[in-house]
This record gives sequence, C-alpha cells and structure tokens, in this order.
Amino acid sequence: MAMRWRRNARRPKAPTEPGPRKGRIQTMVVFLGLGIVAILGRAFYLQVTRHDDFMKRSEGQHRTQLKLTANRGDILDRNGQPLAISAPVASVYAVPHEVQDIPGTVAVLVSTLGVDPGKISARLGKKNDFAWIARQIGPTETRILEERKLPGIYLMDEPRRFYPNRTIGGALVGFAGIDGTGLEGVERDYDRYLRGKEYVLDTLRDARGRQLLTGGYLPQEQLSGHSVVTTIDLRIQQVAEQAVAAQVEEMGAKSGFVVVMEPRSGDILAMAQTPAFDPNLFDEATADEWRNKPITDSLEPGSTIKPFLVAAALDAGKITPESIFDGHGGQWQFGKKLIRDVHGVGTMNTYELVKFSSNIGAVQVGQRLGKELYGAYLAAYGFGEPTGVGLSGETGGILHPSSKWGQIHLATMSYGYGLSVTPLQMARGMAALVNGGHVMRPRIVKEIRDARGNVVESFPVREVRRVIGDAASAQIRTALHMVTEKGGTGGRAVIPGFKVGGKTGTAHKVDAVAGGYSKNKMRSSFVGFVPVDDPRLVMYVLVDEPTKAQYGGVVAAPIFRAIGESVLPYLGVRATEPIVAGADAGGTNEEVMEAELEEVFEPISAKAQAWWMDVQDPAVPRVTVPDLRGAPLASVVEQAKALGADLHVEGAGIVVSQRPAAGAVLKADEGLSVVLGLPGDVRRRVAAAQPAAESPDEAAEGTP
Amino acid sequence: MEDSRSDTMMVSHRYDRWLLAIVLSLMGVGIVMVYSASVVSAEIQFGDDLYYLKRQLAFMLGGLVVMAIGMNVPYQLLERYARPLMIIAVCLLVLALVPGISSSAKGASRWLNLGFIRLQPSEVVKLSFIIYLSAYLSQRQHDLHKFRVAWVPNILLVGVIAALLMVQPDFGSTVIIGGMLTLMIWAAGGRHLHVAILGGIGLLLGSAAIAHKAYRMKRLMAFLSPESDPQGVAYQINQALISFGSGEWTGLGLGASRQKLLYLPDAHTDFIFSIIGEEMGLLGASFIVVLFVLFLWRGLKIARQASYSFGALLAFGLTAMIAGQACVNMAVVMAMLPTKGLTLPFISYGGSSLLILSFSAGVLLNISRQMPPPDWFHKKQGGGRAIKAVDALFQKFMPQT
Repeated sequence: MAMRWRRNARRPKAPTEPGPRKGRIQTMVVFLGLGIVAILGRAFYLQVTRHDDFMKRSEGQHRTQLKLTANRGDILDRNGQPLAISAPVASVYAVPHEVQDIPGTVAVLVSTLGVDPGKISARLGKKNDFAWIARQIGPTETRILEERKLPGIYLMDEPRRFYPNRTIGGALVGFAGIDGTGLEGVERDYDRYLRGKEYVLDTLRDARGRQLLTGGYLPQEQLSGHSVVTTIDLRIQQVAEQAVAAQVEEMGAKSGFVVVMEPRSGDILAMAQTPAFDPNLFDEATADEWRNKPITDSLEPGSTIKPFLVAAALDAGKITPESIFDGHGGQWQFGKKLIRDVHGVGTMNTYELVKFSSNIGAVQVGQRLGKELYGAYLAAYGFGEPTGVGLSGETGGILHPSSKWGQIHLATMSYGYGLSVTPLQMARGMAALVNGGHVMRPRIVKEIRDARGNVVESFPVREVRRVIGDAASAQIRTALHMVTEKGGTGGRAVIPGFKVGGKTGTAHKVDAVAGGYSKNKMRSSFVGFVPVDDPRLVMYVLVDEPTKAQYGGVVAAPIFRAIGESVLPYLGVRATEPIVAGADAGGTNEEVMEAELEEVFEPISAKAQAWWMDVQDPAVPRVTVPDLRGAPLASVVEQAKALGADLHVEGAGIVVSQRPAAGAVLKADEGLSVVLGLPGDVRRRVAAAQPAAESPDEAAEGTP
Repeated sequence: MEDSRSDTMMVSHRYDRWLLAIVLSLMGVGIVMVYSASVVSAEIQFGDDLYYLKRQLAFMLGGLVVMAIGMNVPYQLLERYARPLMIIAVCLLVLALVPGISSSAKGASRWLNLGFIRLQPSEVVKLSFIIYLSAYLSQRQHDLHKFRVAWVPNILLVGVIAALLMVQPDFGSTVIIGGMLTLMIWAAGGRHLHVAILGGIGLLLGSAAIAHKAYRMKRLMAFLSPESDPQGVAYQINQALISFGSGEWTGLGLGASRQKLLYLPDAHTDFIFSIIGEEMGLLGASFIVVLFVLFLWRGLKIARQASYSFGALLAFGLTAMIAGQACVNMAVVMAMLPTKGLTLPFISYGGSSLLILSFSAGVLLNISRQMPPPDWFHKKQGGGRAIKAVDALFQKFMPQT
C-alpha cells in the first residue's frame, strides 16, 4: 500500500493520483523558494545595505549619557576618626508625564514630605521628564514612599554629607552643599581633594527613559574623592569646646575661642569656638556662625604681647634676666602719656616685669629694644601676615611698619595695643617662644589619602624661620613659669602635677559706637604652655566680653587648666611635680591681676584715633553670597540688587556656577558673576569652576 | 516499537532524524531567544527576568511529551476522528467568545483561560482543519475535479470558522485557514480554474475585511509607508526594522539587543525574528531561514513518501502551514507584508502555539515512519458512543457527496 501512489506517480490521469500531486508540490516549492529568496534578499538589504541608517536611529533612541559624581572623600582627625563622611540618602524626583493622578499624588507628597502643594502641582503639571520633589529625605519618609509606589514618583540615592560629631569642630570642618561642593572650612578649602570626580557614562535608555549601565566596571575607587587627614585630635577638640563653652556660660560672656597647638611641629590639635554650630544644619545658622573665628578675627593682644617683647629684647641682648627696671612707684609720665602699674614697685628685674605684667617695665624694654628691632621681631614672630595654615579667610592681623611708629606707638605696642593678632598667630608665636624660637607654619591638614587609604600627598611640618635663640627661649620659659607661681597672675592655669607657663591678658575693647576704648567691655585671654621644661602643648584661650569677671587669670586661665588636665594624661605626658591636694598651686592675687588693667591710651587727635581704630575689625556688616545655583536669571538679578552687588552674567539658562561661592563674604568692591547654562551642563560647570576665587593652593604650595 | 526498529527488517520505520533535529534546533533557538528578548519586560512586568524563560521551558517540556504522543499514537486515528476533532475545535472557538471563559488582550478575545495555560483556539482550529481537510480530500481524491465535491462543503466550513475568527477578531488566522483550504485542494488535485476563481473571491473578501476595519487599514498603511507615522500605527514595524536593521552581518551579540528595552512591542512573541536579526545579524537570520527550508524539504519528502494518501496530504498540509507561517512572520517583521499577528513557529513565546506545533511535528515524524496501522485499528471500528453521536451530528449538517 505504501508504494502504491509512488508507483502510480508517473503522471497518469490527474484525479486518480493519491495525496498531493507531485507537480503541484514542485510548483509550490518554486513559489516558496522565491519567497525565501525574497526574504533573504530583504534581510541583506535591511541588515547590510541600510545598516548604518537603522543603527543611527537605534543609537538615537537608546544612547544616552549618565553623569555621576563619585563619592566625596572623608575628613578625618589625626587618628582617623571621622569628622565628615558621606552616606547615601534618598531623594525624591518625579517623571511628570508618568504621573497619573496629580491631585492624589500631590496630597500624598504633601502629607509625607511637608512640601509646598502649589509648587509641587506646578512641577507635576509640566510634561517634562524630570522634576525634583525633595532632596535628601529622612528614612521614615523614604519607607513610606517606597511602600506607596506612586506612579511617576521615584527615589534616587544621593550621597549626603554627615558630620557625626555634630558641633565639634563645626566651623573648622565647615560643610558641603547639597550638591557635594564644599562651601566652608576644610570642606571648601580642600574641596579639590575631597570632591569625587565627575564622570560621564555611556548608557542605554529604555523606552520609558530609564537608564541601564552597560559598562559594568566602574572604577569607583579611582574616581571617589580623597580623604583629608587633619591634625585635629577629636578628643582634644571635644575637651577644648566643652571647657570653653562651660566657662563662657559661667562668665556670662559673648563668645570664646581656643587654639591648641603642638609647639614643636606647629600641628593644630584643636581649634574651638563657642557658640558652636552644627554643620549638619548649616542652613539654620548664620554666616557669622560659620566663620572659623580663630583665624578670621584679629584683636589687640594687650598684655599677652609682653613675653614677645621681652624675649625679643633678651635675644637681641638689649636686656638680661638680671636687668633692673625702674618701677616709678606705679606711675610714670612718658611724654604726654601717663603710664600706670596698679601694683607699683620701686624696681623690678626682667622676670618680675613679666610676672607682674608691668606696663612701666614693658615700655622701658621697648625703649631699649627700639622700634626697628621690635618691629622686625614682631614680624618675625609672624604677626601682621597670615600664617599660611591653608584655610581661606585667614587674616594677617594688623602690624604697621615700624617706620611709621612714633614714640608713643612704641610705648603702647610694648603692652599690646596698636596691633592686632589672630588667636592662631598668638598660639604659633607662643610655640616659637617656647620651642627654641622656631616659627612653624601651622598645620591643619597632615596628608591626603586615596580611597584605598594610600597617602597621595602629605604636608610636612615646615619651619618658616627662626626668631629667637635657645637661650632667650629658655629664659622666657622661666619668666612665664613664674607668672603661674605664687604671686603671679596665671595661678589658675596651673595643672596639678605639671609646671605651667603662660601670660594672662585683659584688654579693653574698642567701642566702635562711642569711639575710644570701652571701660567695661573686655577681652580676657591666656596664652600658655605645658610642661615648662619640655613643652608639649601650647594653648591660646580668649573669652570675649565676660560679665561676671574680667581678668584673664580668672576668666581664661581656668580653661587652659581644664583642657590640660584632660589632655596631658591622654597624650601620655608624665606629671613631674608633686600634686598637692586642694591647693591652688599659684594662688591668685586679685591685686596683682589689676596690674593688667592698663591705663589705656587716650587718643589725642582724630588722625591718631583713626590709626588706632584701624586696628579693630571694621564694623562694616558682612554680606554673604547666597547659593544661586539652579536659579533663573530673573531671580539672580533680584538677589544681586538686594545685595547691592554688580552682576556679571555669562550664557543663558539657569545658574550653573557662581563667583564668589555661596556663603562667601562679598567684598565691598567685588561684583557677583554667574555662568548660566542648561542643567547638568557639566563641561561648562567644570570650566567655570576652574578659576575658583579662593582655592587651597596656598596649602599645597611648595609641597611635593 | 523498540523491537520493530531493532529488527532492521524495516529500516524505513525509523522516524525522520533530520526533521527531529531541525525541530529541536528551532525550539532550542526559541528558548534562548525568548529569554534574551523578554528579559527586560519580564523583569518589569513580573519582577522576574526568568519569567518567560521558565514558562517557555515548561511549554517545551510539555511540547516534547505531546510530540512523543504524536509520534507514537497511530496517526490513522486522526483520519478516523477528523470530524469530531473539527467539531471540538469549532466549539472551542465559540467558547472563546463567551465572556468569562475567554480572556482578551489588546482588544481581541483569543484565549481560553485554562488556568495553567491560555489556550488559543485558533491554533487548535488550524491543526484540526488541516487534519479534517486531509481526511476529506484523501477520501475523495478521485472526485476533486468536481467543484461540488472539492469546494462546496469546505467553503461552508471555512465560512463558519472564518465568521467565528473574525468576531474575535483574528484576521491572520482567517487568512491562514482560507489559504490552506485553497492550497490543499489545489495540491490534492483541484482544478486550476476553480482555484483561480475562489482564490480571487477570497482576496476580494479579504480586501473588504481590511477596508471594513480602520485599524487593519491603518496597519496596511503603516506597511505601505512605514516612515509616515513612526510614533503611531507604524511604531511597531519601525521599531522592528530598527532592531533588525542594526544587526548587520553578525549582530550586536547574543543578549545585546537594545530594542528589547521596551522599544519593540511583542519582542518575544510575534517580533522575535527582529531580535534574532539584531543580536545575531544576517548570519543568525539566515540560519533560521535555512532551518525552515530544511524543515520544508524534510516535510515534503515525508509527504511524498507517505504510505497513505491521508498521511501524505496531512504531511503536506502541516509542512506547508508551518513553513508558510514562518515565511509570513519573517516577511511581516521585515515589512514585506502587513502586520498579521502570526508567531514564528517553534521560536516565538506562546504555550498553545508551541504545544500544537510540537504535536504537528510529532505527527509529521509519525508519518515519516511509514508504519501501517496496528491490528487493533482495523478491529475496533468506530469508537465510543459519544464520538459516533458527534459524528452523526456533523454528517447531518455538512453536505455529503
């Protein structure tokens, strides 16, 4: 049966052939064959001939670029404890054309995030691809939105800057803005190290606009920002802040500052100020609170300048420790000026001069030294010029050239009026006095490490110059030690178990309103070191406008003591002296303290007054620049007008960069310039960011 | 059966190894390509990038079982039960229109939801129609030159089927059924004149159907000028061309399709050939074409060598339908024909399609063995009472010669 139709297949009468007829199958095969040839031909035409055309269209619809910023580096203390770190936090954005129920979505967003309903509705109403709803929201809100899964509303991880120690070191560390650009403090000045590199990835985009990574390997480690290792010791910083904050409150004072320095290296171990501010909440603080005042503010040193004068005279050989000075019984008419010592004596030697803080003695030392030498020494100590610590906004204080000094100026400058210095300069100067005369460049950043922890750049300890010799240094240490001994003004600075040296200061503030010096507004300070024979710590302490007491020895010295008590054991410094229980080692002589309350210089003429007033911080209100980035031109024009700044505009669109940076102080003659562009116009942004106004170049200068 | 093969006496009782290899190759390509094409949409729809792959693997396993059944159950039974099968298929088609049982997608109610699988009755109808037509024509092969015998009852049947399909609506399957009717009668010996006249009438009816529905017209317009409205009706065909055309000689690489990122709708079903072209290039696309050419070659060889005229016609019909559907699908993807809604046999994702195709392949392999029907086949004439009743019903409604 099987073979039957095949045998009959030799084309008999057509209808009798069983099954499909061979000829017709062949016909069909021919047609199908033609069809297949057509299909292959078409395939060749589409895939090879027109390949470029289709490829271009394909690229056009899925190629897209993704801009990413690698992680910002950490800021660490000298032991690797974090001062500033980055962690991912969710931000909310919308793809408005995907949002189905605008009123419902807005209601949920408003109730969850507390955003402004009007603004959000407006943003969702636009049929574009992207709109921010809220940046960097909290974990609870994140969870709620994750659960709600609102159509068209998405979450995106953005790195957020955290300052785990909150207010500790707040003004020093500074802060970075929401886009991860450093705006203040170390964050700003070392931004070029900290900032993660921006990079562009070629990615694919799906039909709904989502992006897919195709590259696979992301060299995150190479791209993420470097860590900045500071010289700050978090423990010491904490102790310093607590001590100064407690005392400022106790004394009803306005504010207080502490600089703790390692005298041999010039490393800044702590730089504290109170009131403190929390960089996590920087937008709630004022620009004034952001300022790292121990470097930005200068003041008249008052009596604390005397050791510098005496050391200079000793070093120059103009006096010896045994030199005798006439005490004039406490009143001495020097030219037109009556100079007074509260604790009047007949004669005194050099050490007693320092110990009792004699103005009459100091003026005589100044006379022996001469204005040229004194001016040269003051400059050599580093007064009158920025220390080069590597933080922007540092002021150099004011030190007029000695050629402009008159006799009266030499006299007042001998007891600390007529020049201004920063707390950092004082600490550095004291370090030089006690370390053998080596003026160090203060160091705030030790080194830069990459993401793997390798040191990529280090900032070595550097001596700027030597100002006095070992002998003078040893002698001034002895003199300053006597200040804290019985009968001296600095008894309350004594740390049980240690020999402490230092000098108190109580300076009248200039009354900017009334003119001249204020009778009751004081600055109480103490600059000291410990232990006397081998100084490990130098501290400068200043309390501004204390109301409960005024003498530096009462207001500022206890802060020195409180910090030293905690820090010396922490640093492993052995006690050298017997600890006498309950004893106030040096004793406090209220009468002696009054010696500091120098009769202040009464200005004789308007010109002279101007010369003095010049020393104080100008009372011009400081204008800080707002963050304009992302703002449209109209808003920028308005804000510039409000600031009273000249506006320079480049490009079109929204603000992608600005100069000066947000938060910076706008100088009187300085204009405001902005570069406009499309959002995310990276190349422009980078180009515009290059010539940043205040760069930390100083810090890197001359280092490998 | 193992015995008869090892007997070596009847070498010709071995099934066609070539065909089996071709079908398994096509299925294998299908598994890989379904996964590749669906990975993104599966992840987005179901949160599981393996969703379609897993299901397709399950269907393929089921398909292999069904294929084994088709290979080993005497295919002569299909001839005997051709009419009941046809009736059941038509009933399924009716059921597909009943709300509640049917499930619809994109405006067409094409599926019967059986829980584990969504059965597409049109697939069943196509298969049983070819079985039925093979049985009918083989029994009347001497009278096929007569219009009354060859055409009239079948045209009536096709009319009923077409009407049910068009309600769904499933224009593509209607065209296939009509085409298969014409092709099989012609191949079995119908007169050229009749073929020409009825083919012409069929084309007219088809044109009318296109003109009747706006979306079919649009599809036709999209086909005629794909560049006219790339975001509207011509979106899919444009995306298919972009996909296929970016493949060049060797493609972007397996898994590297970018059009599957939700740009190309139905990437893993009707338009999988686009993704093959994009990822594997002209080389891969040609490989698929070659597989179907080989399939056609083996299928027609089986048809020519079949022991029975039913088997020969059935083999021819199944081969022609599968190869034809493959050609049409590829032509649609390459914008040589308007969009139809036909899958690429053995490769496209789809449970009922794969099961029916596997069964068809099993039957083809069965025919290739040229086994005579077993003894019980002759003894047990008829079948169950129910089948007889259904058969009688069919007799009553279908005009007999």
